[in-house]
Amino acid sequence: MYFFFDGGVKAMATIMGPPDCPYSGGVFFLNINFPSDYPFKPPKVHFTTKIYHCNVNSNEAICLDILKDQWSPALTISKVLLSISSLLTDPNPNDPLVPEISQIYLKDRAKHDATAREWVQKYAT
Amino acid sequence: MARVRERLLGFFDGAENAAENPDPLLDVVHQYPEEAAWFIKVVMFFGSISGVVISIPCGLFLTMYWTPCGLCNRPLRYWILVHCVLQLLQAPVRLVFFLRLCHIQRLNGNIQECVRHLTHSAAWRTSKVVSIVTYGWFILGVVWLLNSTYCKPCPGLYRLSLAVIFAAVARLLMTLIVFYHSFPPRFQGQQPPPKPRGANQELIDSMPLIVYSPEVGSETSCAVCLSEFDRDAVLRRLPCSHSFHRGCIDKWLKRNKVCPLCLQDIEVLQSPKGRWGKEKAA
Repeated sequence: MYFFFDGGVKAMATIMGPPDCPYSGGVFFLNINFPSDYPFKPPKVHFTTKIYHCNVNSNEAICLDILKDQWSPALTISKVLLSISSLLTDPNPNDPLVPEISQIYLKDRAKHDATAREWVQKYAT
Repeated sequence: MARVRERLLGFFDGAENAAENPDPLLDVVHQYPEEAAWFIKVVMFFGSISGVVISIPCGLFLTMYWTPCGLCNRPLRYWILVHCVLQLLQAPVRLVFFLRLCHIQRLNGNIQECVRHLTHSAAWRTSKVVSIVTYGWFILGVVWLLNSTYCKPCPGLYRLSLAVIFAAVARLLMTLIVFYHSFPPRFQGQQPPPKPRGANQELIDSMPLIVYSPEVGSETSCAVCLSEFDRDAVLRRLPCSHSFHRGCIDKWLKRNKVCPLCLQDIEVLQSPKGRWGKEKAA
């Protein structure tokens, strides 16, 4: 996990695909935007690498509770990145941003994982 | 005869052009197939039935009093006529939609696929256009009705128009009620799940301030601004016994009254025992 801060309100981070999940071996880039009242408001985190995941939509926005109503000012960027990393290992199909992917995840896990791996090969390596 | 049947089936089937602009209804069906099927069925059924039921008395009335109605100062007779025709036009599409869904549910088939076919059919698109015309016509009717004066030659016309408008409003209300009952609350709001609220100044002030010294307290830095506590820094201690810089925590609590570290609601923590509340009173 790497984090580059350019001193302004934007930063960039990378997440390595966690082992034992279809995203392993992938390198995922993220943009982080800090609102002016950070840390009282959550940072806005987007993937810049395309990823096949039911909680990440085609605009690369992430559906994660701690980036919304469960935000706490005690959360650091490294904790946020760690949460995103564990979201890769354990997608949350019950609160999907892309319902089609969550349906496939629930009904045909093998197909889901194969597509996810394919996208990693295509976009994240 | 067979060709007519084929044409008719084609009218209700849109498999070929399924790729282009999907209907918003499909999104809902994707997410909640069971609930959506029930909702669509109820709405389609009542839509088609109510259209027919309303049209029968209106038709009878108009055939009996068509000429005297013409003497009224607003063309309400035409309004009722067109309204009924529009309703009757939509009834078959709705009924077909309803029957297809019943059929597919009985066979345990794919509801999504069924709705996708139906919403891409020419019949559905035509029905959508008719719906828009219906709304426009409805508003025109309300305006005419409001502007119409007592009509001596045909007093029933006013009351009938009023009844038709009430029936339309009732159907709209029923649709909304069915919608709210069909879908889990998450879908209806989508945006605000129980929104965390901020604390008022009184609640914040009810929590004690302490002066930091390295000997007292377990935390040595503020989890909000991440800087180390200076000696003699003024901290605020929450009921969960986590402490933060006064300025940092006050600003946070005004937004959301939970401890940043353990996420417990400070108001809930404080209220049952009223620990600090009693102290203040004394």
